Amino acid sequence: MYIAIFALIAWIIIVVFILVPKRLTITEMIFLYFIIGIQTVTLFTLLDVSLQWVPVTRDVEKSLALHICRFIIIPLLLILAAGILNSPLRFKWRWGIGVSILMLLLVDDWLMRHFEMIIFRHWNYLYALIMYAVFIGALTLISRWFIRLGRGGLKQT
Amino acid sequence: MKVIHYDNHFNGNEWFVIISIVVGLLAVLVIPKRFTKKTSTIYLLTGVFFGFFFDHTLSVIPVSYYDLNDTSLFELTDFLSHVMYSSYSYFFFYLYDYLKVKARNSPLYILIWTFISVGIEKISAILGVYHYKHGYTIFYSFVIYLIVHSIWVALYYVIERHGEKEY
Repeated sequence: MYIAIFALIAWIIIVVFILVPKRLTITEMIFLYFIIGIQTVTLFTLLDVSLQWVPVTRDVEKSLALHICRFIIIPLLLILAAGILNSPLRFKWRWGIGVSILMLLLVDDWLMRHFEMIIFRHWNYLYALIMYAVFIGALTLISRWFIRLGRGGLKQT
Repeated sequence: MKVIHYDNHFNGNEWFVIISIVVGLLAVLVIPKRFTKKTSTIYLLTGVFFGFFFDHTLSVIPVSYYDLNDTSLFELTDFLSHVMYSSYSYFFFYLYDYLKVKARNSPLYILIWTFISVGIEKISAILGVYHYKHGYTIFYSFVIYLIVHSIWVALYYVIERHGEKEY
């Protein structure tokens, strides 16, 4: 059941991700996906394995659902946020949508906790909010740097 | 959770990781450039990302098939062990591009790199970078490398053909 629920959420996020104009090239999105993957895996592993602040479930089905969260839902939401914050939209729209995505990430955390996929031991929603806000802020800056690195994925001749 | 300590010293595994990073990145800097900065960045990150992805799906509970380096905890050397894969993936793409490998020859190219990867992993395991558990063997890694390298070839074509399309 857990896999089905998170697969459904992931699929809805994929549909939204495809439909929303991100103004990013495929190269830029792959770059952001890799950065988010490295960033989140490092932090979540530290919080779970090393610090035991947010231990994750040992149940196989819940673990697979957790992977759906961490490799599809969270990265796609973060890429959307970075794309929108770098877009030429009006300031209030950019930040309004950015904050909405931040809230969706917190809802995702709430669901993970509700289904006992993660346990908050020395952690709470405020810390999670700060963590995701820092993620979004860092990604916006990193994506800005990468976009300016030179638009081009073609070979140099 | 029970913490397993394999080793407490700065020895073979740490040196292997550091030397691999330094030599690998120096080689990346020295060889003639074939890609733009953006594409090069992606090809360097590919190895790091896939290292993280597979090591943290296979080496973390509930499966926990292996531990990295000195303890079962996540440490700086573990992070660096993933950074080590950056030059490795870069050379995979570099040679694929340099040798102008055709799509029909890709399975052979993937197989050769899989044997190279298994060889490197074997050396890493001997030096204490990998500690296999719960019946995991290097033969499982062989299959994983075949899958990973196949994804890399697909990624190469996606970036080459569609990398600059904006969505």
